[in-house]
Amino acid sequence: MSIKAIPFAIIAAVFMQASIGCKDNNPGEPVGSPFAREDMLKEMAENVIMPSYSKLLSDVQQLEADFEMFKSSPNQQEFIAVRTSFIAAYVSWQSCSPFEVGPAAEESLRLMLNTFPLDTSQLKANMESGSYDLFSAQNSDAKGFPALDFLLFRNDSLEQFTQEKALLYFEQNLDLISEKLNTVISKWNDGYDQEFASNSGTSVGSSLGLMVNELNFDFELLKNAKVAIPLGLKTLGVAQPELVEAVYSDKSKELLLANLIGIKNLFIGAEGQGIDDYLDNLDAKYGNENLSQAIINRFDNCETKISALNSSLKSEIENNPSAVEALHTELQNLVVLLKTDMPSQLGVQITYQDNDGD
Amino acid sequence: MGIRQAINTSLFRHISIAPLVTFRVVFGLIMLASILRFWFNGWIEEQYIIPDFHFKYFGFYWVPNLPDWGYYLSFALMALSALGIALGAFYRISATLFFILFTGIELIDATYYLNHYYLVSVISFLLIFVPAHRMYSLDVRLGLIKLRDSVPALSIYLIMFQLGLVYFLAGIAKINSDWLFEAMPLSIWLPAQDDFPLIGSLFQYKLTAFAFSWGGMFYDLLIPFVLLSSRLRWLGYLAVIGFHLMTWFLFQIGMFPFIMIGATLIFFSADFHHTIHSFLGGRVKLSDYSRKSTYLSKPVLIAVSLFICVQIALPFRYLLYPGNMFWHEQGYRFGWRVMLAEKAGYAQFKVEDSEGRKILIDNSEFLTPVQEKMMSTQPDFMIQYAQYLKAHYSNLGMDAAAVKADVFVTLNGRASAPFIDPNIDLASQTDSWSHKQWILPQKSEQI
Repeated sequence: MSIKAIPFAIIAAVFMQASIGCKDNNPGEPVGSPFAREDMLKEMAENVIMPSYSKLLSDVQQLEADFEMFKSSPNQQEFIAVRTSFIAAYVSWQSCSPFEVGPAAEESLRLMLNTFPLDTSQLKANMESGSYDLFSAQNSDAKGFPALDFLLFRNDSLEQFTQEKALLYFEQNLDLISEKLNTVISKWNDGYDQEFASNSGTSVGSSLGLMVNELNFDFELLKNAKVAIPLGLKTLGVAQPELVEAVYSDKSKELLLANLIGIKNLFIGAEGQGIDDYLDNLDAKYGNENLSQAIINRFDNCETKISALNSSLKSEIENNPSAVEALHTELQNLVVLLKTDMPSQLGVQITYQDNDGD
Repeated sequence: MGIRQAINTSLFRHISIAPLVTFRVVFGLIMLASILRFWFNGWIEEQYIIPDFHFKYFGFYWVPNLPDWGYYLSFALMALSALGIALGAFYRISATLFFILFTGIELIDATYYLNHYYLVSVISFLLIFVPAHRMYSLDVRLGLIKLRDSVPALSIYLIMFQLGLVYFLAGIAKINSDWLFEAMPLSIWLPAQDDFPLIGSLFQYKLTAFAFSWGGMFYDLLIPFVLLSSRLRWLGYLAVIGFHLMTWFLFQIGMFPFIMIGATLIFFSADFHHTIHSFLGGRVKLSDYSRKSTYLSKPVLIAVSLFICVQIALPFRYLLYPGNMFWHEQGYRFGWRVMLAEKAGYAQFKVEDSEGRKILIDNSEFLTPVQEKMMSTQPDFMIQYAQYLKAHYSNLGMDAAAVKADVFVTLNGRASAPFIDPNIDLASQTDSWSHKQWILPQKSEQI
C-alpha cells in the first residue's frame, strides 16, 4: 500500500466502524433540535414554575385570610384552620424551592423563606424586644416558614400564640413571605418569562445551566439538611433529630416528600417537556437504558423510601434509623446521576473559568 | 566532522532575526492581555485568594501559598515583565521574571491546569535563552546591547519545534476510539452549541461531530508541516485562524486560540516579517548575514537535546500505566490533550474515627466549585484533599483515623461508574509516579 493510500484506508475503516458501532441510531439523525431548548424552557416555566408559584401564592393568601379570622375571633377552631393552611403553604413552598433562578435568586427566596434549623433564642429575643429587622444577617435563622412553624406549633394550646408579641411576629413573617413571593411572581410576569426562555444556551449563565445547578443545589439541601444532618451522618453517627425541618409541627416527612416530588417535577417538566425529554432527544443513555428513565426510576426509589417512613421523620430517626439510612442511600444513588451523567450529557457548563476539557 | 559541520550549517547558521522579533512582541502583548483579562475577571481573587486550600502538582508540594497581596504583586510584576518582553526592555530579566512568576503562580494550584498555561511556561522558558531583543527593542535603543539583525537558526527553530510539537501531539492524542469512532466528546458538546450562528443547526447531526473530530485530527497532525512548506503556508495560516476562532466561539477555551494564532506567525519567512516591520516604521537595513555562523557549542547542544527528549517523552509517559489514561488521568497532564474528554465526577468523602464512625463531607465547605469539579475526577487531588480533611478534623480534636470516598465518574457519555476503591484510606496514600492500584478499572462498556 502506498503512503498516500493510508489516509483513505483509515477513513474507509472508520466509516465502516462508525456505521456498525454507532448503536441503533443513525448518525444522520438530528439530536438536540428540532426540539429547541427554548421550547423546553418555555414549557418548564408554563407548566412547572408558574403553577407552583401560583399554588403557593393562593395557599399563602388562604393562610393570611385564616390568620385574619383568627385575630378577630381567637378560638381553637380558627387556630386549627391557621395551622392547617400553614402546613398547606409550607408544603407548596417545597416544590418552589428548586427554582432559585432569576427573580428568586435576586430576592434570595429560599434563604428568606426557609432557612432552618430555627434560631429560637434569636426569635424569642426579637419577639420580646419588638424591634428587629428581619432582613438583617443576625435574623437569617429566625424568620420565614420555620418561624411560623415555631409560633404555631410550640404549644398545642392557643394561649401562647394569642399573645400580642407572638401575633405580631407571626404577621410580620407572613408579610415577609407574601411580599417576597409577590415580588418574584411579578418579575416573572413582567418579562423574566421571556428572558428565561430566550436565554437558551448551555453556558454558565444560561437558563438551562442555572436550572441544572439549582436543581442540584436544592437536591443536596434535601439530602444533607433534611436527612443526613438529623440522622447524624455528619456527627459521627450521633443523631440530631431535633434538626429536622418543621420540627414543631412534626411535618418534616410530608415536606420532604413534597420537596422530592417538586424536584422530580422540574426534571420531567410536569405535563410538558422537561429535562427528561431533552435528554431523550440527545439520545442520552445510562448503560442500556435511557438516562432520563434511570433518573426517574431513582426518583421513584427515593419516593418509595420516604413513603415507607411513618408520619414523623423525627421519630423514625430516633427509633428506626435504618429506614432513614436506606432512604439516604437511595438519595445518594440519585445524586450521582443528577450531578455527573445529567450535566455531562446536557453539555452545560458549571464554572466560568477557562477550560480545555479535562 | 561531517555531523559537526552539518549542525553548524543548519542549527548554528545565522538567519534573520525578524520572525523572532515579531514573535517576541506578539507573545509579550498577548501575555499582557491575558494577565489583564485574568485580573479584571476577578480570577485572582476567585482562584487564589478565596480558596482555603490549594491542590499542588506532584513534586511541587513545597510551593507555598502566598499572602493575598502576594498574588496581586505577582500578577502586577508579571504584567510588567510581559510588557518588558514585548518592548525588549531589560529583556533577559523580563523573560526570566515572567517565566518564574507565571510558572510559580501555576504551581500554586493545579486545579487550573491548562495545556496552554503549560505552553506559556515552556515558551517563556525558551525566550530566556534566545536573543529576541537584538532588534527593535528598548535594550538596543538604550544602548544596553548592540543591534544585531541575525540569530543562530536554532533560536527560531526551537520555538517552531515546540509549536509544531503541540499540534502534532494534540493530533496523536486524537487517535483514540472515543474521538474517532464515537465522535466523543464532540457529540455532546456540539448539540449544546446549536444556537451557533449560521452553521449551528448542523451541530445536531452526529455526522457533523464525526466531521469535526476527523477534521480536527488531520488538522493537528498536518498543520506543522503545512506551515513549514513555503507553498502551502498561507493556506495553512488561514486554517490556523479559522480553526482557532472556531474553537474560541464554541468553547470556554480562554486565550489559547490567540496565543496560537499569534505564535504561528513565526513560521513565515524573514521577508514577510521585514515587510511588516517596515510597514510599522522599522528602519533597520539588513546586512548579509548568510555567511555568519556561531560555532557549535556542546553545552547548548546537550541542553537542547535534553529539552527535546523531555518534551517528547512527557506526553507519552501515560503508556507506562495500565488502562485508559482518560479514565485514570495518570500521565494526563503536559501531554497536549486539549478538549478530548467530557468528564464529570461526584465524590462523597467520609472521615472515619478508629471505631468506624463517620462524618460525611460536604465538599462545598472546603472547595470552590472548580476545585470540587477537578478533584472529583483526578486521583492525585483526592489524596491531597483526604489529607487536608484528616488534618482539619484532627485539629478540631477528632480522632480522624481514615478518609474514604465513594466516587463516581462519567467519561464521554458512558454511564457513571465507581472510580476508586471505596474502602481505601486515601489520607494514608502517598502520591507517586507508580500506578495507583486503588483506581478501579474502567468498565469497558460502550457509550
